Amino acid sequence: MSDTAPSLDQVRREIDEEVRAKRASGALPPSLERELDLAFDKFAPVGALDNDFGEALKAADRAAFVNVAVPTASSKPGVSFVKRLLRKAMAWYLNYLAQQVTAFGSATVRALRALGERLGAIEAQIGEVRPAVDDGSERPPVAPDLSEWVELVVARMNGARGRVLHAECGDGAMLRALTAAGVDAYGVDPRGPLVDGAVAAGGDAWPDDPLAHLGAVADHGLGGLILSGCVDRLSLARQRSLVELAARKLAGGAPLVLIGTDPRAWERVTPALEADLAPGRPLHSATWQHLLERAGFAGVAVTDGRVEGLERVPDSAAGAAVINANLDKLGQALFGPATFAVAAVRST
Amino acid sequence: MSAVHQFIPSFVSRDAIGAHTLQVRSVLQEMGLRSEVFAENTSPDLEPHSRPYESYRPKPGDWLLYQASTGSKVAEYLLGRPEPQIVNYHNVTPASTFGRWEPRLADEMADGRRQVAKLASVARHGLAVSQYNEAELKEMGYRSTSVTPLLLDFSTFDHDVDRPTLDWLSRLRDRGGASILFVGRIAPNKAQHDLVKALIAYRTLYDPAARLHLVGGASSPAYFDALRRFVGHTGVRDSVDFAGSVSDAVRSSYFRGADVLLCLSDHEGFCVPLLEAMYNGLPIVAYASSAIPETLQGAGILLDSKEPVVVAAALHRVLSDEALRSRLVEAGRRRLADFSLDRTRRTFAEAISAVLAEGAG
Repeated sequence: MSDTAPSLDQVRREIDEEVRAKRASGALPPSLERELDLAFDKFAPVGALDNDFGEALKAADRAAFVNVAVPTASSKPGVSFVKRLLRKAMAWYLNYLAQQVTAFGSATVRALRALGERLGAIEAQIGEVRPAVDDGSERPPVAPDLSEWVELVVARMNGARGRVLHAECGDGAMLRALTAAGVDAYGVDPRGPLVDGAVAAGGDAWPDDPLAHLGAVADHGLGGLILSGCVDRLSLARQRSLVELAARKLAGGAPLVLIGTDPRAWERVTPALEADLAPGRPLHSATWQHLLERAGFAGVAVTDGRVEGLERVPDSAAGAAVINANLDKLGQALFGPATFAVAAVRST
Repeated sequence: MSAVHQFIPSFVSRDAIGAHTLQVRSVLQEMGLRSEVFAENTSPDLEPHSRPYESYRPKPGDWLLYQASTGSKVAEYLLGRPEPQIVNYHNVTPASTFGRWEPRLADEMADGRRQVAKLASVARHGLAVSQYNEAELKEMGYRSTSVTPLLLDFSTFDHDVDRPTLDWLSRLRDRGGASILFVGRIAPNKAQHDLVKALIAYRTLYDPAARLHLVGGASSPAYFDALRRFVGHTGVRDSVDFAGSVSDAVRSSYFRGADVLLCLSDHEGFCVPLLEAMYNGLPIVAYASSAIPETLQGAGILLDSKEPVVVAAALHRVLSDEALRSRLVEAGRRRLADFSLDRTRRTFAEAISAVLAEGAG
């Protein structure tokens, strides 16, 4: 053994460093790892359930028939004759039993088939009411503009004890701001091309579904959490799960910032494709506030974003004060703030 | 003279549990106990050493020892027996790992776990081959448990090599590129698809000529089919060798001709190939799941993640750092000593003595 060899812990740390360097170099795009996952899943028999059911029914149908014509062939002299004799002699008895067993088997298969059809009808109905699933991976990769919230997020996350996760991180602009401020931040986003960009720009980003990633993180393992993007289009059930997961995964005292889109502004600012295919709709800031407080977050505070108002008249114009005041009121009523941030702290 | 008779679902010679059962019988006989093996299925070469389980005829003072690794009729039989029982738990693969691929096998596995749990009510003691397995026994309600490793005769690792296989591996090595080895059945819980992903990352980042050798027969046809199609789809067909179920000599050749053993299994109750790698001086990189960290105990690089880039970086480190490689091989040799047959037989005998003494008291 070489005495100069480093300890295994040291080796593991060096491997981690090597992984970070390789990722930063873009030599293995994160989207390739995701593509490999998807490629294998394509061959996995997850969608084979319906076919299996049909095949299983056919097999049961075939097995439901009890054949009383017992084979009588034999290589030994005379045995075949005896077998035929026995079969003939017992036919009345075996037929009687076989008819009942066959009837039972056939009735059971019929019942199963009827059950399958009713189940199929229910699944079809569920399919109609279930919104189209859009995990973001198929959407055109448009990086969200979170520049308005950088200052607030950095202020909240500064001094976080532990790693800070940004889900969804888009092109990593927020991650870069956090890293520049000395925060140990990483991000996930289901859109591979955006993540590749974030990595190329030096961010620690992963192609992953935010909820799935959060679910895999160790309980109380996060020093801070930023949620954006996904919060607007998840179904209500998953939005609530997200809050519960956030509460479970954040360490006591860790900050959370949720950047959401106001429902009134959502259709105005969201690309039509994304809005139409989203399985859910955004929630009002007051609703997030309520959900976070109920999940055990403290100091929940809402900050409204910029209002894109109507163009004001110059102050020098006649009646400018009155006109501008009315324009402001009109702008507020028509547009309101497009986004908001809900900041909170995980109770200890 | 009291007796401890063993019951086993499948008594097969080229199987670690079969070999363990033979060793256990020898230990029990050395302790002055009568001991026979009763099995549901027996491979032809072991037929002189076993009897059908239904032929068991009880005598006063008998104890029954069940080698538990799958669902079986033997377990159902034992559940109805009045004799004091011991369960030697080798772990049953969780049904969830197979459910998607082989529903019928998954049902068998679920049955196996249910049977082991049911036996908790009649067994006096649970012997587990690892602490990981012991924790499962406790979870299933076993009140008295202990850890006794598999009884493995390392000389069975020491076969003559198959010359053509070794020559072929040498020629591949001469052409350049690392030979990465995994030994185990092709099954979802062994996650060979993750090995392929890691190979692709390793070839992309470090060694375009690297190869993966998968030694072991398929226990899930559906998974094997998906794996082969995945390999074809990802363009590494020529770099992945599906060796299948091989003779002991060919297996030895692979261990001697490879550069590293890579194990990314999601579930292993013990993982004998790790010990074979240690025996053959092969460094190990493994994913830290189930009983693997316990079996390795520092005799390999343990990974908390199976992400291809992480595995690739670990492989690169082990294959390019001669000092680390020597250190791992040396650590493997030391770890192997913990499983020496003398030591494990003694541990087993002590555990059985304690159980019998408590039973007598």
